[in-house]
Amino acid sequence: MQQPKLTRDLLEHRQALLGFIFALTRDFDAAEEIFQETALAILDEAGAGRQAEPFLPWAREVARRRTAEHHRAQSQKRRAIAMPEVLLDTIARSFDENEESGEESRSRQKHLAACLETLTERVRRMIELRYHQCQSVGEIARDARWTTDAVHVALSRARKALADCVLKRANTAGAR
Amino acid sequence: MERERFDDLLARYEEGLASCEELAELATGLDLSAAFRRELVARNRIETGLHEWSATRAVAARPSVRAAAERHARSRRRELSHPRAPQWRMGLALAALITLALLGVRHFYSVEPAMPALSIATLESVTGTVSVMRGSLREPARNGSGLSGGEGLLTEKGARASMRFADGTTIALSGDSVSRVWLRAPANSAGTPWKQMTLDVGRLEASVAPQPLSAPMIINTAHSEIKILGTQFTLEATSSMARVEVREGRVQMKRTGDGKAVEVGGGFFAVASRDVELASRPITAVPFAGTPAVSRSLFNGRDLSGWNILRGAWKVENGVVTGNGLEGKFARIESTDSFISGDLVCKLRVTGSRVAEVQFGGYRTFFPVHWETPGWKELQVRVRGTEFLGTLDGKPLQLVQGGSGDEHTLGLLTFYATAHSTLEIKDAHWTDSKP
Repeated sequence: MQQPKLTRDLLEHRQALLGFIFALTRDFDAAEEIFQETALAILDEAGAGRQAEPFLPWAREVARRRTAEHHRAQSQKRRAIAMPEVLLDTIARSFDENEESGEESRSRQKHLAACLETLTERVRRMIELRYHQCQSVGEIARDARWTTDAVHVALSRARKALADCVLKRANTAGAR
Repeated sequence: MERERFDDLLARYEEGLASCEELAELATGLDLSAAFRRELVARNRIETGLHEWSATRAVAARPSVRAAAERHARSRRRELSHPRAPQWRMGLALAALITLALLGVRHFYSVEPAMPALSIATLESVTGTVSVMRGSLREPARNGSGLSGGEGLLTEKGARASMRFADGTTIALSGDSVSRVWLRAPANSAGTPWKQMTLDVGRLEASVAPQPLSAPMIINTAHSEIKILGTQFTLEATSSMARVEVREGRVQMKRTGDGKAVEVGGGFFAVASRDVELASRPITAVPFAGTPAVSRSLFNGRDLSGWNILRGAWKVENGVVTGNGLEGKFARIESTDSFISGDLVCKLRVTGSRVAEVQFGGYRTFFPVHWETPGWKELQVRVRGTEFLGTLDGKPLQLVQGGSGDEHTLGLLTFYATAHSTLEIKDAHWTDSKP
């Protein structure tokens, strides 16, 4: 049986949507949870035969609402600080303006893997501790005998370097 | 918005360190620049990619992930089962969830237990609703638990909590509304630990042990940076201002908007805001509710009733009191009333010389007032019995103890113009403090 188009779109744009939710929450666990809630809502729509074209802006709006619900719930539990509404608006606008296709997402992931290899051993280790072993900045700082501020700065520079490297590789690949 | 500022705000947003005000500022920057918006998206995609990269590695390393994902999917099915939901829709959803769960496996593999981060302060005196914040997560704060760099402390309305550092410095957070502070723990170039924190909002009271000159304690707010070498003070911050009130010692308050700084000594306060001149001012008593402070003019604007001319020629013109020394002598005018406890505010201008004096109790106690540049200057003096705190245009004045003075001059207020000079006084008011 062929999957409904909304389901295919969802799988195609999974990373783009997850990235958008992550930008709204800055919490990957929460982003995954919200993504799954969003996915269920979209699959419900798919089951009801709904068509949504173009898919991504609509899906982002669904995700935005789910994120707002999440923020409200977290606020009631007093667990998290919600981002100002004005920032959520500008983040949504930023993603609207800079959409990427599923193919571009997959290419970016390949470029990222290659770019990680270009980092120095020390910085790569820091990225691994932060994103693979989920260590806090404080833990990384203690292990590396750095200050937390130094780790924050190193991670920020590493992300910027990776973003530049990925963009460069994407442009090079696009020029071929 | 400058590129450098955007980079700074973006980094703080990414690390979960940004205050609400900084996030709002980031939004403004994004609103103004398509390049910034493009970069925000690119950077978030990089991080999502890093998480995905991590998850992919975890899947490869842990064959049990699939089973865990399926367990999770079963658990989701129990959560989501609804008697009216068509079976095929639920089946579709579950199939998709399993697929999605396999792609997003970060939930399901165990993470090595994290070692506790190095504490830099210990929590004590926790009362009311107090939370420790790690990124965007909050946990209830407990007495005796440690706080590390990068972590924050939040007190709800009416709650209170203190942090004690190894050197005895204490920071107490409290307030009529939410107060939130974030700790940083860098070291200076010599490796000396450096106490730094950001007060997003609310009120803190600090008692700071002497700090190394090379690493003064630093507290940032949305509008200011406070540098402390050792003192006792209170700092309040809102989205539009910060107010520091110093009980003992001396701090430097710098307004981050324009870099202007002011030294604030014991008994003085300063406000950093876009709308208020940054100046050190004497702390005035807050009247009790129901007993408003009484403010009165020191001169009636017509004549010198209530004043005794001791030397020189004095007159009142257009509401301005003017005194001149005669024959190269000084001029002096003394109140007939006593001013024991209250606040004096007036505007002074001197010509022909660069100095005048405002005296309390005859020559017993006085503030020399200097004019580096000509023009009117605002004098504020807080009088509490034998304690005097004065500012001129917000800058602290040096109090001089004259050591002489008769008993009958106690409490009297005197304006003094030096020889060959003219002293003008206007808008002079006295506000009694209500005990």
